[in-house]
Amino acid sequence: MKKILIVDDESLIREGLEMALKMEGYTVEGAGNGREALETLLWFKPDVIITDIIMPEKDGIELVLNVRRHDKRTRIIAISGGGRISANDHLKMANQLGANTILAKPFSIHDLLTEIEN
Amino acid sequence: MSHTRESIQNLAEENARLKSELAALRRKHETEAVIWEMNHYREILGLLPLAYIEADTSMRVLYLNSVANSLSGYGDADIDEGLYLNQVILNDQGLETNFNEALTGKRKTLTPYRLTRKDGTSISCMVLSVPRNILGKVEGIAILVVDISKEIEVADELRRSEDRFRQFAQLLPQTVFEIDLEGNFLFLNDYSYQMFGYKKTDNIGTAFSMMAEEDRPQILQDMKMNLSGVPSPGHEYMAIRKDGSRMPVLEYSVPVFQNGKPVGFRGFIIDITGRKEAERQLFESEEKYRTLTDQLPLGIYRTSVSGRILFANPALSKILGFRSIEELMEVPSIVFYVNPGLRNSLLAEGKGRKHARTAEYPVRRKDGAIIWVRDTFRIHSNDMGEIEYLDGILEDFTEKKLLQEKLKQSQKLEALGTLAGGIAHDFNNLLMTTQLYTELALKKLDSSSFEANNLNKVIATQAKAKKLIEEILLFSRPEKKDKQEIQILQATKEIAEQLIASKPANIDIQISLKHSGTVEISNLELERILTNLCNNAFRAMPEGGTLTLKLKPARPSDDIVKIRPAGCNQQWVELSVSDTGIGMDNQTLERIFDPFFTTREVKEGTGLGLAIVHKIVEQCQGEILVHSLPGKGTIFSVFLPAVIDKTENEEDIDCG
Repeated sequence: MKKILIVDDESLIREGLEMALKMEGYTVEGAGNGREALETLLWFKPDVIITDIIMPEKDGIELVLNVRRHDKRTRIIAISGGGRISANDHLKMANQLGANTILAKPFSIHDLLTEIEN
Repeated sequence: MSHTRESIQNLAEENARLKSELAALRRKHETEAVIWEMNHYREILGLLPLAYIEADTSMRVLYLNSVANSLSGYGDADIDEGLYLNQVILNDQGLETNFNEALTGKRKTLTPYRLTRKDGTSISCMVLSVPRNILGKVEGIAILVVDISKEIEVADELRRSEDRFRQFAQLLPQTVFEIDLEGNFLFLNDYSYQMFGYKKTDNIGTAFSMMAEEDRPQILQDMKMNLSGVPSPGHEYMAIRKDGSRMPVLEYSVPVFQNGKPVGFRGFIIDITGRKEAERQLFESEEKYRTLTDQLPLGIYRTSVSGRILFANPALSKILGFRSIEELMEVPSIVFYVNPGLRNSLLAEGKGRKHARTAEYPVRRKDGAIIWVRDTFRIHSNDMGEIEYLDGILEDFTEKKLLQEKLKQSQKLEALGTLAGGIAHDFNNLLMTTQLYTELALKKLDSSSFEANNLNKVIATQAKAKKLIEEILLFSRPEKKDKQEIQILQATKEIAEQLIASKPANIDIQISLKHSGTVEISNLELERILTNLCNNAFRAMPEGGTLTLKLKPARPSDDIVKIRPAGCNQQWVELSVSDTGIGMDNQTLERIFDPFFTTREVKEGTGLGLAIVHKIVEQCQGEILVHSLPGKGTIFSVFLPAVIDKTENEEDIDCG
């Protein structure tokens, strides 16, 4: 089964998603921001990274940039509740910078699973 | 001898006596003759209508004839008591006079004196005095007194009158003249010299030489007319001053006749340089204001209390839709007020106020169209406080009002967008959490269980919440994105097909789509516009009805040209959705584009549908117009800027 890294500063969302994906049989690790995610990536080699965009310390955009610098293979799904000024600009930016797909919050577990297996 | 001597002596004595008697007799005779003669003269003189007075050498009055008696008031009794001439006749300065000169007979001419009456009053008189010679001896003087008081009075009056008019003539700050028929001046008042720039000592020439050469034939002509008895209304000529400068004047004159023959003219000349200048300025000023009022894009009017139009400028007739001012002025102003009572209430409010007031109200043009005007008016009342007339300036601010309303709408949406953008992120994260845990809970439940059933309702509500956030976020998009030029006919056709599929059974849809070129809009936006408008139309017809969807190029006669006159070179596409539903009143119409304004139950809609349509149309730089009649239906017309491509040959679509 695929290994998945979930990056979100909202612990309720992060833990909920972990729970849902583990129930589906995936190996899941969580990180609270981009910096934690990069640390986790050092020992956990995920097949899929699901990352929020707006986060403290290191945000999702930076994370995508860092990962894509030497890793074109790992699938990245950017998720976001929308920008504070405009709706989906951050998601689109993430998409342009290397995220494979984007999901606007709120989304259903089913939508996420579809994207993981795509 | 002694006897002879005695006789001779006696004879001589007798002779002497006789001689003396004879002399006495002669004297007596002579005296009687003189007295007779004197009395005879006195009788004759008594008949004269002149006063006759005699005095002796000591100037004691001896005799007054009846005229002198009645003129002076003195009588015989006064003579007997002793009346002296210098009591009665005073010199013309009123002083006593010495008549001794008269005794010598030197003064024979008529000399002015004053006669003092017994009552103390005096009159002017002329006196002729002669010495009275009686038997070769001057015995006194005789004087004739002519009463000239009346003549003096008349002469004085004449002199005073002449003085008066002469003074008037001198005082007049205009030229006063009298000329003979050759134009030589017989009289000129002092001001004339000043007016024509001459010194008093200068030779001023003739009346003709003072006038401009080109006017002289006319002057001669006018003089002839004047002499022939045609009254002169006053003539305007050009006069020439000493220094050669020209001066417009107005001349009034009357002919002077002597013994029935014309001898000249009398009149005056008024310098009208100031008046001419004022006239010129007035003309220029009138011209200026007339040009202003004619060119001004503001309507100017004056109306009577009853509403009759007393004055109007071309702009007013244009604003109110008339071909000419004359046509407009035949109509009473009250017919223009949409609210017929408004004029009277404005009059009542403005009465007695000194300052102009401004009111904004709708008026009905000649063609029936309603426009909004801003009226700045002032009421003029007479001293009694009664309204005389109303002056005002009318501005058609329909366009401005629309812009104001649009601006207000945009500001509302912008504020909402800012707010929405601010909360959307957090709100979506909250929704994500509730959605996630609801789904997790559902995973352990039998899908037909009571809990699963209830939790599914939470999921459904979440979906609605998500849609609401999405719609709110549409406002926070500051710039046009994803816009593309689309063939609006094809795009509309595809959307219309979906609509037909989802329409309620009791509603008919009429579709008429004409080739309209391309429009810069995204498919999604076009879909949002049409879905919102059509869904509203469906809901407006709960009892069924007809929805008509039309797409066509807008003609210049359409409403769009009225609100966007600047864009008359712009091609427009009109997309309209009309229904035969319940319609809307004005209050509702005013608010339909407000976010969260809805006439429906809360659960049915977000109240954002039309606000979104408005926002999209605005972003496309289009316009949206609504006409609605309660009970009849509503029509929404969306005008979008178009690029009409005439080379393309697309098929028009009409279907029921």
